[in-house]
Amino acid sequence: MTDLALTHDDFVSNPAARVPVILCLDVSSSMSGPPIDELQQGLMQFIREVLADELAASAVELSVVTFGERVQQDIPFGTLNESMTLALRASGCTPMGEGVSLSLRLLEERKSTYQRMGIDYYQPWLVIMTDGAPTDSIQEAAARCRELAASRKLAVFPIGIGPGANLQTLAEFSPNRPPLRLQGLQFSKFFQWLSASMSRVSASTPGTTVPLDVAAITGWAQL
Amino acid sequence: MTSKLAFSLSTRVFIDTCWIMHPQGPEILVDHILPALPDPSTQLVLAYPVSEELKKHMASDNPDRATAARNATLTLATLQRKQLIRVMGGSNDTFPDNLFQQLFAQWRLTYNLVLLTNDRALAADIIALRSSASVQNIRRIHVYFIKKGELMSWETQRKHANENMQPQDTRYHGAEDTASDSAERTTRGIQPFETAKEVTSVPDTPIRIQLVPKAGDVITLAASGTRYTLNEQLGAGGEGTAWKLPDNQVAKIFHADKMNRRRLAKLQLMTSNPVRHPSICWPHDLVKNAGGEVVGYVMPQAQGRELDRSVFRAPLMARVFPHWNRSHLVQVCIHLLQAIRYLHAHNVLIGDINGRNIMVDENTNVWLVDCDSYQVAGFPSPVGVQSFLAPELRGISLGTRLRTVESELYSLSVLLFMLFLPGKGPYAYQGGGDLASNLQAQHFPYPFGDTPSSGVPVGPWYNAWSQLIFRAKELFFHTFSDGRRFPIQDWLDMARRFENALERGFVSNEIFPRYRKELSREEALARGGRWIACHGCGREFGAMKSFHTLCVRCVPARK
Repeated sequence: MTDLALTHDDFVSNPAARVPVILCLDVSSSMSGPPIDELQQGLMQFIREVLADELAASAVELSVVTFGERVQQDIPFGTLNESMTLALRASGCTPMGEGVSLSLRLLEERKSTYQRMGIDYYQPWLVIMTDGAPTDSIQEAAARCRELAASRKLAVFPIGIGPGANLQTLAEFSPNRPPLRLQGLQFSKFFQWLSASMSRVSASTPGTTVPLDVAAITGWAQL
Repeated sequence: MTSKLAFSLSTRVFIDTCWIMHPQGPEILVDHILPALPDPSTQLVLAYPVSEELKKHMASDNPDRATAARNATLTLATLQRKQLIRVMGGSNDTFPDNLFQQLFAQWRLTYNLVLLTNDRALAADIIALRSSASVQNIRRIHVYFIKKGELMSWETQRKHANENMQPQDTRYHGAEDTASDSAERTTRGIQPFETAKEVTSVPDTPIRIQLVPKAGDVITLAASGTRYTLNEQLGAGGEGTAWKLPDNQVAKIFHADKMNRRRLAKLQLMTSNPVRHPSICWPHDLVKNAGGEVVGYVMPQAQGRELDRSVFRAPLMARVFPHWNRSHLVQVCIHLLQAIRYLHAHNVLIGDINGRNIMVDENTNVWLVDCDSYQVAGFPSPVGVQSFLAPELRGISLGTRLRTVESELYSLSVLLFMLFLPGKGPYAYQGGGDLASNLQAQHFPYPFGDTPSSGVPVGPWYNAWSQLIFRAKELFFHTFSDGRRFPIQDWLDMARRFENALERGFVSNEIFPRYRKELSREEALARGGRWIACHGCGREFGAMKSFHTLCVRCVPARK
C-alpha cells in the first residue's frame, strides 16, 4: 500500500513530458531459438540505454505486449528501472490483430491517465515486430492505426524479422512509414536506434515534430 | 591608481553620504566601483535618507560642503537616469547610520555586502556584524573609505595597522579582486548593437571548411593573434566540436559543412563587439586554422548543469542540488533576469530560450550558452523550442523573421514558470491532450483572483502555485491567460519581493511545499470566511466554507 502511494507520488511529481512507447512483439513458435533470445537481449539493452540517459530515463514510459499462444501485456506502462526483467517464450500462432488491438487499448488508457493527472505527453510510439504473417484478422486494428497515424496521434514502426516476415500486411498498419526488414537478427542495432530516438524525443522539449534519424536505419535494414 | 576590484553578482554596495561627498567620491564610484559590478542597477544602492542628507548639505552655508553635495548629487542623478543605481527606501526610514546597520544585519546571510563610508565609527559597527554569536553563515562584509584618492578597506586597516583605525596607505587587495585589466577595459568599450527592421540580406551560402582543426592542430585567434594547440576535446555535436583552451575559454570548431556566409558575417559582428558579462558565454574572438580560414570561435567556458538536466527534472534536482530550497530558485531567477536585461540593453535577444542553453550551478550562478544563435542586428535566431515559442511565432520559419522583445518576454515567462513549478509547463492540465494540443489550447489551469482553478495537474503543483507570492501569480496569470507580456524589470521587482517574502516567512521556502498557502485573518474575513480554531490541532485559521473545520495541515492530502 505504501509502495503504491509512493509510486503515485513519483508519477505525478515527475514534471517530464512523457514519451509512451509500446512494443508489440511476435512470440509465436517460429520465433523460438535464437530469434527470441536476441529479441530479449535487444530489449534489455534498450532498457539499459534509456536508463543511461537521464533525460530519457525520466520521460520514456515503456510497455511490452506479446502475441503468440496468448496475447498479453508483459510489462505495464511506466518509467524504466534497473530491476526490470522479462522472460519471453515462443509458442503458438501469430494473433497480430489481437496484439495490436490490445496495444492500442493500453495506449489509450495510458493517455487518459496522463490527461486525468494533467501530465504532458508526446505522440505515442507503437513498434510492431513479427517474423511471419498474422493468423487472425488485422483489418480493424490496422484501420485504427492508420487513422491515428494520419492525425499525428501515433507513430507506428512496423518491423519485419528475417525473410519470412510479410511486409505487405505490416504496411497496412502504417500509412506514412514503410515497414523495415531487419537484416538477419540485428535487434541490437534496432534497439540502439530506438533508444537514441527516445533520447532525441525526450530531450527536445518541443511539441510536434521531432526529426527522426531514419537515415540511421537504412544502413542495416532493407525495404 | 586603486587596484582593480571585482564583485560577484551576489554583492550589494551601499553608499554613505560622507563617502560620496569626498572630493574623489564621485570619480572613484564611476571609475572603480561601477566597472567592478556585473549588474550595477541591481547591486549599487543609494538609500533614500542619503539623498535627503545631500539635499540638506546643498543648502549649506559652507560653500565647500554645498559644492561637494551638488557634485555628488549630480553624479548620482546621472547614474539613476542611466539605470546604474537603485534608490531604495523612503521618507519613513531612519537616518543613514541606523539604516545601514539594520540593512546589513538583515541581509548579511543573503548577500555579500559592501559599505562605502569614511565614518570610522560606522565602519567599526558594520564590521562588527561580520561575526555574531547567534548567527552563522554570514557572507562577506567589506567597508571601504577614500584616502589620498585611493579606495581602501577599513578591515585591512584594522588588522594590519594601529588600534584607532586611522586611515593609512595600505592599498586594498581583497579576495574578490579578480577582474583583469583588459576585461574591464573591454566592458567599458561595448556598444549596443544596431537594431534592424529586416533580416539581413547576407545569404546562407555554404562555405566549405578545407581544413577542420583536430587534436594536436594549432589554431589562431583572429583579433588577438594568440595561438593555441587543441588538446582536450570537451564534446561534439551536430554543428561541431568544443575544445578546452587556457583561461577558462572554449573553442567551438564547426564541421566542414556547417559554415556559411551568414553565420560567418554574424560571428564577425558578434566578435567585433564582444559582450563581457560573467553569465554570458559570448563569442569573443574568431578561430582560424593554419590556412587562415575562419573555422569557429572562442567563448568563456560555462559551468554547472543545464536547467533541463537539473531544475526541470525533479528527481535530478534532488540529486544534484540536494540542499536547495525556494530561495535558491529565486536567486537563479534574479541572476538570469540580470543577464537577459544586460543583453536587451545591448539590443540582443536570446530568441531560442529553453532549458538546454541555460546552465546553473549549486550557488545559483547562471551561464547563458549557445550565444551564436542569439538575434543580433539583422541576424535572426533561426531555431526554437516549441513549448517556449510565443504563439505569434509558431508555425513560421524562424530564420526568416526577426523576433521582438515581446516574444522574448513570453519565452522567458515559460522558463520562469518552469523554474518555480520545477519542470512543469504552464499549459499542462487535467483533461488536456498531448503536448502539442495543450500548447495550441493555451488553457492555463491555475487559480488567480476571481478565476478558480480549472484542472491544475495532480501532484505537488497546486501547492507550489499557491505558495508563490501574489505578484508572481499575477504576472504568470496575465501572461498565460490574457496574452500580456511584462518587461524584465517587472519580473525582477517580483523576484526581489519574493526574496523578501521568503526572508520573512510569508510563503513557504520549500520547493515542493507540503501545504497550500493559508489566508491571513484579514484576508479570510474580507473574503467572507470565518476565523476559527482548527478541530485537529487547535491553531486558528480562515474557514472559507461553512463545513470547513480543519486547517490545511490537518486536512488529508489532496488526491
